[in-house]
Amino acid sequence: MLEEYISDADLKKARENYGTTENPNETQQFEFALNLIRSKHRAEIEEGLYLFQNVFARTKDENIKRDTLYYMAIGQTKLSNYEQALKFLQSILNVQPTNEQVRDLYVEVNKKMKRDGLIGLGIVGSAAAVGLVGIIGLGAALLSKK
Amino acid sequence: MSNSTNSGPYNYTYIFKYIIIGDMGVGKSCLLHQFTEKKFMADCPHTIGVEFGTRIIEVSGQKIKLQIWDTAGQERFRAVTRSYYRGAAGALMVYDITRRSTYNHLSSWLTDARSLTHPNTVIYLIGNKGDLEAQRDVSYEEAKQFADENGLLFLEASAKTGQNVEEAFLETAKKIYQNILDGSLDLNAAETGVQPKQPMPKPVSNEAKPSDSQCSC
Repeated sequence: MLEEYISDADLKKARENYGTTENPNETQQFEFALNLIRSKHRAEIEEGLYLFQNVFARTKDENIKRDTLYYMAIGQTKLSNYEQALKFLQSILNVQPTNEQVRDLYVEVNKKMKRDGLIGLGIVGSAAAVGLVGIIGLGAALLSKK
Repeated sequence: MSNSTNSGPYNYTYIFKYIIIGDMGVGKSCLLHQFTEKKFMADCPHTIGVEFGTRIIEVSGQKIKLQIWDTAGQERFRAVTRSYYRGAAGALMVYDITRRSTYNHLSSWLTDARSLTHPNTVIYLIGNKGDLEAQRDVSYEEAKQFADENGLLFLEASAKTGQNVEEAFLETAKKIYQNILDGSLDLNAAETGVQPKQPMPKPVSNEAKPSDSQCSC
């Protein structure tokens, strides 16, 4: 799900469809939100997250609530908001601790978070190294001038 | 019969893509789990959107990797699950022999499968929960007739006991492989659900064993 995308054309169709639906019920809202989450574009993913929040608030169906949390976790992961994603998944696991699908996603998001963190550290690390070389170089230059 | 082979997990000739479809609660995920893990998952929560499983099998001496997409049965996922039909070489269409409504919906699942997959996609009908004979609501003969009329392969199976689960997955692969051999499935066509993989170069049998020097131990 994290690497599966909807085409812009299909999403446009879904949006037109949804736009002509009067008083969409929760299933229709859910479906459209799901299409938005599958987008490549940040703004649409955010729109999907917002719509899912609405679904979550209005539905009385525990299964729909759970599915909504799952997809909000996917949306948040795509926006690199890993901690929020893990929080959503954890709240499902509190109720269904053995749900393998949710556990798998939890592990994957956690991995992604760590990898992104390492990349961040890597950049900081190499910048620091450049800085250090710079300072040493400067020192050497100063020394050789003497 | 197991997927642990001595030649490593990457040594296969083809990848076949499967989808599993059917009403909610018919046991699609349990069939997949039984096939990939050889275990029955009692009391499993309903699938969210799609799940994925793989296993390497052997058909006529060829290793084939099955990539299996297990779809959620609920209506609200239909838009997402439909996008997984594209490029499936095999479709396992499942109903529950103890719930007639799941059988009655087959024609709509079949319409989806036919319109969204390749014309050569092999469709296998599975009547699941075959272990619950006392609660049977659909006779074998009736379903067999439906399958024959629509040109589907058919078996009754049980994800719980494992009966016929292996058979359904393997026979689908055999049929796909046969379609490749007799040329009815053109591998150059788009979205056949079959990806040939270059066979791994095999070390020449009895002569020098170059692989020894590459041992990283």
